[in-house]
Amino acid sequence: MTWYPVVEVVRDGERLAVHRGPGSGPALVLAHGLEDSWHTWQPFVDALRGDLPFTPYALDLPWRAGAKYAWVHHTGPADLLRHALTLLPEPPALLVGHSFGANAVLELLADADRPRLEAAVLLAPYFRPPDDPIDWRLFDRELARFRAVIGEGVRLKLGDRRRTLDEDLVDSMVAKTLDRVGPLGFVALLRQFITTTDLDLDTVPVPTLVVSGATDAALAGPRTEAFRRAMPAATVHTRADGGHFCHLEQAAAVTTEIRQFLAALPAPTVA
Amino acid sequence: MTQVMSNRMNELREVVAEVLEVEPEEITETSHFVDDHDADSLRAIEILARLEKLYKIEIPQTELPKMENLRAVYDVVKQYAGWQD
Repeated sequence: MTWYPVVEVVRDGERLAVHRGPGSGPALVLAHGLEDSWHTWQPFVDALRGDLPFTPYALDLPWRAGAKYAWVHHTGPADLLRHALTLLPEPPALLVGHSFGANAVLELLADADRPRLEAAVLLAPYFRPPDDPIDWRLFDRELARFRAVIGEGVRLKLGDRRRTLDEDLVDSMVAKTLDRVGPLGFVALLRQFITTTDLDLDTVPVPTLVVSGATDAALAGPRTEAFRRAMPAATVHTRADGGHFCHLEQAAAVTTEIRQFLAALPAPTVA
Repeated sequence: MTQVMSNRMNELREVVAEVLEVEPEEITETSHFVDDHDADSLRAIEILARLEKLYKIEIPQTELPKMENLRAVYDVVKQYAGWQD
């Protein structure tokens, strides 16, 4: 059984779609990162499955690769994610997000009108500690991080093909990708990053596992402890040798952490 | 189609086929890269980057959405390479 499209809608000019993967059981819903794709989850889901009973749904969100980001002018990632969840044929039990998608999940969790979930998993989210001022140094630092992560994503997605390509060609592809994302994509990410400090994370009742990499500036160093203090419901695992895409590069280890987290939940259905 | 045009079209076909990992003869002038050859946005960018390198030209990424088949790629490259045929 392969993945197949469940629904596709256009809302305010933005396309949202849901794809269902093989499996049965409670709904496990996946939100990809910025300039990524719903396809990214297929090997991750294969690694997670084992004997876990769940029905995977991968969302195709308007921050997919090639997106125009026109929605930045009138809405935000959490609202778009909330609408995508209404398209599911069944209520979500577990919500999993990566990077920009993880922070969209985080925003939903912090909202008083949050969806009913058994648990959430945030892969490589970012967080701005309260003592990290919004100044030009932050802007420059985050723009550099944004560029680096886009480059890391391009190289990772090339997979084995990367070995057959000249490095200057790969550099050119990264530059083209950054051109295509444009400032609006960065604005979306910057706004999301800056406002993490203001989220009501201490009110989140949903058990949440956070997996981040020690070499990923998104949640590294003092950000990790600041996030732990801000969100008591979160269990934060920092992988010593992990980067921003550790859920793909270390899929077996990361999915093992998720399985252990789910198994330890009180009265779990997805475990 | 002149011989020059035909040669250039075949050269472009070779580039596209290599990126999409298909045989060159599978790519017609109008077969759709995404719908017919499973291209994604990264492959589209790789085609663009390879063409820039091959012809030593610069093609704005805003042309990417147009480049959905071989004929369209030819037209875009022709514009930026200044081909007169």
